[in-house]
Amino acid sequence: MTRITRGATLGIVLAALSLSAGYAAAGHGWGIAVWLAAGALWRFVLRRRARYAAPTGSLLWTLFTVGAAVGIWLGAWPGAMLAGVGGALIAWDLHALRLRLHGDEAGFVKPHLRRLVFVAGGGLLLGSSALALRFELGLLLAIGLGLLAVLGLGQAVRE
Amino acid sequence: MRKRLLSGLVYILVMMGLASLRGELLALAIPLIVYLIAALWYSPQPRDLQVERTLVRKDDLAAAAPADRATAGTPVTVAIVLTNTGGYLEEIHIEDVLPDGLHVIEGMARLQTMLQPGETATLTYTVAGTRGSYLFDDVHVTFAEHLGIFKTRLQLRVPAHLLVLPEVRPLRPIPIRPPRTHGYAGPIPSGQPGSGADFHGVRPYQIGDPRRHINWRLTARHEALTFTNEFEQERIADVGLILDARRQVDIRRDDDALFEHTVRATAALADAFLNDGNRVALLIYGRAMERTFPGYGKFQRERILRSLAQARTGDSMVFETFDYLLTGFFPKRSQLVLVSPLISDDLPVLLRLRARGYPLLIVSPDPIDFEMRLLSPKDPDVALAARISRVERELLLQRLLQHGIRVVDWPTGTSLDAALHAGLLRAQRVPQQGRLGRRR
Repeated sequence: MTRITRGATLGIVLAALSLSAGYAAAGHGWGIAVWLAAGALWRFVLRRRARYAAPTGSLLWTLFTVGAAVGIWLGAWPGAMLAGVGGALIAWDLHALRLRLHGDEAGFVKPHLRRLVFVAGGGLLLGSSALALRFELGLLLAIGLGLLAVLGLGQAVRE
Repeated sequence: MRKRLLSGLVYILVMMGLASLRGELLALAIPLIVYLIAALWYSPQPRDLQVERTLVRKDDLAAAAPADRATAGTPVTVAIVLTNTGGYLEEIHIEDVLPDGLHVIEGMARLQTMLQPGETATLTYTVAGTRGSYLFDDVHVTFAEHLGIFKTRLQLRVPAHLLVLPEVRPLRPIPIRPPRTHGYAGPIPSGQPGSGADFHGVRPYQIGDPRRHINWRLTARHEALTFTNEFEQERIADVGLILDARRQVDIRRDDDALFEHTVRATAALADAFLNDGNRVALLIYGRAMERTFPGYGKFQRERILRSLAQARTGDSMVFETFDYLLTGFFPKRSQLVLVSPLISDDLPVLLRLRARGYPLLIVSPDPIDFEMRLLSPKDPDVALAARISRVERELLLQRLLQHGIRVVDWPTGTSLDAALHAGLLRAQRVPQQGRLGRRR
């Protein structure tokens, strides 16, 4: 197993266990079966290089992220959901890297992992801090932040 | 795709969080936002790049001489050198677009690498292909940051031209005797007395004749006269090669075409005639009349091979028959060599050509033999059809031979050299209806 596959598997396990635990703790026992099955499917797809591998990986990542948001709606512990989002992000990134590389690019893996650790670690740290932080959000501020998010993201990802 | 998905999820989480005024949902979006910002921060700006392409024949690697030509099947190494004269480029994916007809035999036509400022990356792979003219053009280069979210795709024009010349198999010297020869010494008996190796005749001795040429036997029979031997001058001649590129005479199968054999035969004949010192011209008759003007030596060989490399069959209505064959292109009474599978409609034109005083040699790749290899000879219908076609072809060749046209019937599975010399021997034995006299 390569470093990429190991890292992606770790991300899948983290995401599946976090979401399962979060759902179970909130009294939704079916969540364990759903998220462990989704994790197993992702692990299976991870080893494949077929045409369906990339879209399936993206679909499963979306499922885990949306599942974490739904979990918060269902009363799951936000920390577990955040860990699930982080794990899914790591798995999605490394899955895409595995499909992008053709096997002779050993030099790519190290800087990629370094950046991923930095980015995912930073994101989780900031997310955790945000969970700990409590302040009142007024309607106007919410609309303003929403507009800012729309404009900022639109600028960032435009072709 | 990944960029859209990531930003879409960020949107959803942020909007859900803001709509429901739940900070936890906003917190879930933070790792994704950090990931997106990091990708944006490191997004590539490939402004200063230099790309260069070189083609090197595999057998010339030691000399490392750029090559724009190779013979069929010879491996050619393609090297694309990318130099980064700008900032650090984290991920570069280079993919070369191969012209149709070439295939990679070693390495891959793509490369994934990273480039520090001033560093170069080289994509190297080896191709081989069949006869033809190939134009390399675009190289696709994709730049990305390590996370692979923001990508820049460039299509860089790095043109190079590769000519794959037909294979040339050496032939023994081909005996031809055109009525007109040139003034330079060569291998073709000119019918004129002079310095040469073959005995030509005798004449009265003149002052200055070498004593070793005196014919002592004849001189002994005459009291007052002394005779000297004359030898036949050997000269070079004009040879006009005509390649039949009419689509109607070509037969194609999956990986082979009769035309390819016709081209190879023309290349071998050109090589043999040029090696003998003759002046050789080429006319490709089919799509149009593509001409290579008469010339001598290695340069002419190269010119002819380059023309043959680009030869294609064509189905122009004008050139369906040989009626428009540009005979004025060849000097009068020069040797014409037609390389064609032949069809029965060609007979009158070829006879007219012969009547105009052109000695004609036809090398005819056998289309029936070629086609039979595609079909089942055990099928009675196929066997009957082949038999009828064979009889028709034999009749056509026989009539050509009877009119003093030398015909070489070449089953493409056999050696051209053997077929050529056997065919020329056969042509000498056939009684001719009207023999054209040699002008002296």
